[in-house]
Amino acid sequence: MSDSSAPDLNEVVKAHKVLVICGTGGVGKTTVSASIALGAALAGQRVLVMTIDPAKRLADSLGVVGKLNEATPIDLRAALGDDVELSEGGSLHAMMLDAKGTWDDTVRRFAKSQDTQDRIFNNNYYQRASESLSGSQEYMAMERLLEMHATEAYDLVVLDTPPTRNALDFLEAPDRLMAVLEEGILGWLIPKKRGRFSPVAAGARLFGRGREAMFNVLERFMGADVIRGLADFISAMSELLDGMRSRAGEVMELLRSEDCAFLMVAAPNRIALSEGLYFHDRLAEAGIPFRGFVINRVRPAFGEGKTPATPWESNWTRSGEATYDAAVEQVWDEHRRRTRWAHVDRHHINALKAHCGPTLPYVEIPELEGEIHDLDALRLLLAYLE
Amino acid sequence: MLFVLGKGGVGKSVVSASLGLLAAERGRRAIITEAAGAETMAALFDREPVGYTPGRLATNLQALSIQPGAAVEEYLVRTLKFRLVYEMVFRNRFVEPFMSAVMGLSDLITVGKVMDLEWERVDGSFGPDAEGPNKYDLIIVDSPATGHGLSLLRSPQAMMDVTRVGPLFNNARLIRDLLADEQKTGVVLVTLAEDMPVSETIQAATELRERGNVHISGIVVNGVVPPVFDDPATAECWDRVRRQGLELGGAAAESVRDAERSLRDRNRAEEHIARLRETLGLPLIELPLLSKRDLDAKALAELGTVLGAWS
Ligand SMILES: Nc1ncnc2c1ncn2[C@@H]1O[C@H](COP(=O)(O)OP(=O)(O)OP(=O)(O)O)[C@@H](O)[C@H]1O
Ligand SMILES: Nc1ncnc2c1ncn2[C@@H]1O[C@H](COP(=O)(O)OP(=O)(O)OP(=O)(O)O)[C@@H](O)[C@H]1O
Ligand SMILES: [Mg+2]
Ligand SMILES: [Mg+2]
Repeated sequence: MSDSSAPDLNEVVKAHKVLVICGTGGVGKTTVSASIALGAALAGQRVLVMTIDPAKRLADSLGVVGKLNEATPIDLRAALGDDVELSEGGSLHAMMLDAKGTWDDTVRRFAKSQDTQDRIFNNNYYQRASESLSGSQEYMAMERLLEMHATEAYDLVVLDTPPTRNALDFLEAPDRLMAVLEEGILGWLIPKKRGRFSPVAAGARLFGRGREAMFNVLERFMGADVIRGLADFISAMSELLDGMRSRAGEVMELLRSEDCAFLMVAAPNRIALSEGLYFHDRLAEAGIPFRGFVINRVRPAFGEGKTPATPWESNWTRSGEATYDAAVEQVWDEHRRRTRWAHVDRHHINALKAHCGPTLPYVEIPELEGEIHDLDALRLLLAYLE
Repeated sequence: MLFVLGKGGVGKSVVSASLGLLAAERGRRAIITEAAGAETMAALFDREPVGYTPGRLATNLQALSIQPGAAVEEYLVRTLKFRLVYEMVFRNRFVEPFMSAVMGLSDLITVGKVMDLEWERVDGSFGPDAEGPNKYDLIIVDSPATGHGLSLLRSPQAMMDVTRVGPLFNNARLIRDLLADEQKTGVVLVTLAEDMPVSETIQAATELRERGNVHISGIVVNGVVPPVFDDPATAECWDRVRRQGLELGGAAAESVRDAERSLRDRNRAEEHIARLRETLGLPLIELPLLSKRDLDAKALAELGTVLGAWS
């Protein structure tokens, strides 16, 4: 399926310890992540797949329902039956990522005192910030990845990513989150002067005059309780920043390392593929190891080449019975439509290959029928991933 | 006001545009608003980005892209007269997202802007008590994909829960009451005829109903594979056509296989639609999957006509 000069996807999977599966919303990231992980486990590796919001039934068959942030072993023999060949030593764990839980762990890890921890956990704004700060979910996925990678319990960790409008959002998330946190926490207290913010100055400011004037205004605006809660949240959070910043640095280091490979899942349409191109180029620029495309939901057609406008120009012949011939024509229209789809998809895929060159693996998964929500179905997908 | 909600990529923008065209066609003045600075409408109608002031898409149809920064400024400075807060807290491009997230402000401000449009009158007067005909007969909100856009509808209550007093609280209450007014506000849920989107739609509708503070106008099932045969008589020939095609082999057999796949796709879609109908019992309309890759104004008008059967 891949070009002969390119490595195949299996080699990419074998050669890395971390696979990050990117792509825009709904293209099949979770499905492809689980399938790649299953394949590697069947081939004898110890594998962990970290998924985000799997469809309910997929979560059921991975056994992760109700178990957030917990690596859960999957009994492959029981799930797949006796006929399936399992290589020695292979195992599969699945984990359902939960951003809120990872935030909690981050707070526990970096809070300098029990008091700070309690102040954060008991603060109304904490919940909100941990759910809706942009980049939060992505950053927390990476955080968990770093932790699981460090355990060395797995030969391969496959990381599914949250739906983003743009695949690059995922990579930029830690920086964006840190910028928003740092400047959000420190910046609103002190108008930016020349140079960097200093936490010490900010702390001083927190108890100084600048604060009072502003709090008076804010208080009229929202009420005193809100301001007290907010000020407390901000001062407690500022304690975590140093720790989080250095952690974010480690994450980026792992993502740039030899151990890690990025794969992009894309749908074969113009928008998705042009975004794929863009992603490919930006990663290359940033020194991030981009290692291949999984083009998912390629629409299959049974015909090849051009289809004539009417069935009567093919090997169909008119029966003379009007309704019957109309039925043949409608069947033919369906054929034309599907052939056209397949052509369009092929056209876009060729454009992608022409741009990114022959050294990458490009695997194609057809649009399958029905949902892919159990291990048997994931195994069927494997046939296309080689 | 119509809020068009749904999971990412199901066709919220396409449905918003089609609804807008339909209303405009019927002589109503309509405007489509997008959140988070998105400019999908400009792209769909092949126009320059409209930005934060209403721009024209077609006769009787305008669009507006709600940009967070501009909306925060307008809201705090013009609506609430709190220039100082804005100057001190929200001017910075990093501080604004932080505060918006912590306070849940950005969703509230998006809905607040929509309410402003509802308050605008033809004669230029403005506000909850302004009289005279509305500037817009229909305001369509093309919601962001996140969390089904449900957070938009929750935002006034959420803000009231944290503030309890003050101008922000009062403003949130006005918005909440407007959302709860069945005469003025409705939700359209957009989905695909697939397992996950249907399940999520059922979940979203259930949640909206339980909270009971906004009316669900109906469900649009988008991108439905049309039936292969256009009437029962041709459909009855299918068995014979199928047998003959397979016997003939070659292109005839290929066409039969493609049609078989389409029939199976159609059946699956119908099952999902039946599940939606049975579970929710809401008005529901199907939009066909068009073969065009990139929808243009003509295609949108075509979909608008289908939606016309509804209202
Ligand atoms: N090749 C395929 N053929 C048919 N259906 C598919 C295929 N790949 C994925 N699907 C289906 O598409 C739906 C979305 O897939 P999935 O959840 O993997 O996407 P995702 O990229 O993880 O989405 P999100 O961005 O929302 O997390 C699922 O119902 C899945 O079963
Ligand atoms: N009925 C249809 N027939 C054919 N193509 C369609 C149809 N509806 C939507 N599309 C296509 O599907 C894609 C997604 O549609 P759209 O942008 O409206 O989704 P959305 O829900 O607004 O996405 P987002 O969550 O990213 O805002 C577009 O490329 C659009 O052209
Ligand atoms: Mg997913
Ligand atoms: Mg949209």
